[in-house]
Amino acid sequence: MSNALTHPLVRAYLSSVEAEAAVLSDDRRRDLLADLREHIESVLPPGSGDAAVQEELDRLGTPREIAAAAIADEPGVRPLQPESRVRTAVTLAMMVLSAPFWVVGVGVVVAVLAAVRIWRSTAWAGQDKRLGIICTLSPLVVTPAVAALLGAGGRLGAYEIYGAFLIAAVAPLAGAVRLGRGAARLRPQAA
Amino acid sequence: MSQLRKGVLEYCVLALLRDGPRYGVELLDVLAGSPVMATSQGTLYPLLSRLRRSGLADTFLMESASGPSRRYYQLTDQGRQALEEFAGHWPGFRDAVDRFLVPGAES
Repeated sequence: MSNALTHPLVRAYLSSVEAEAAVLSDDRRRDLLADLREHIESVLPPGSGDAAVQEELDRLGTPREIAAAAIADEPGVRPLQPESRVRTAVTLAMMVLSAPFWVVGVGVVVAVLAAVRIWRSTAWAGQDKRLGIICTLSPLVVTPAVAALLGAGGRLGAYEIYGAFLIAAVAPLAGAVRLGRGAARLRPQAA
Repeated sequence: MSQLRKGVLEYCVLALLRDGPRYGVELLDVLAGSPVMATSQGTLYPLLSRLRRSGLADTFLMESASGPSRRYYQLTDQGRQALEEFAGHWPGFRDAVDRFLVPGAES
């Protein structure tokens, strides 16, 4: 007998609500998810089958609908809006490509511009924006730190420097993948 | 229509609590019984959460014979006052709208 909350359909449903409600403050989102969990637990006995689970989830409404109701209830919180593929692609490319060029200074400018584009976008919530900007600017700290580590033996040659730039590009790349997925989820065809 | 519903729905919930506490699922079931008020059930939770936060209703958990304990909602004094105020304004408001909507009734 498994609790209804561990049912795969319920888990997918709740994480979808969580993603759709990303613009809400942490408190509000936690409240909403707690209410939905309580509801699901009280209407679905442990060990319910897929059909019964799906029926209850349909009765609750789509994750998007519920998140929209919660967002509409919060004055000042604006729902996420999809942005064009091109805008997202340019931002993410700037994020990733800036990393190897920090040394010549161009990278710093591109990274700052990428950070501004992330901040002004309508496609990501505050939490994702902060994460994206930290990833974009991380080479500032990571590159010298890794170079210092690799060159600790006193042999800071070309390979060590290339290595440092490659390693410093990992965080921006990871951040870009996350932001790219978030932006893609908002586009209508993904609904 | 959804703005109108949103405006009055919270008073309908407060009115449902007038005669005593009810638990969440029970509230949703009653509301779903009035097709005009029924939206998807889950969209009512943000409303219940707002009533809680704004002090118009509070909640307590009570054991249930079947399954997990249930969260009951009950009116606070502030909620009761808000409900009375709305109930006082509503007939005049409803009649005024009717006067505009019903042809020939304007004068």
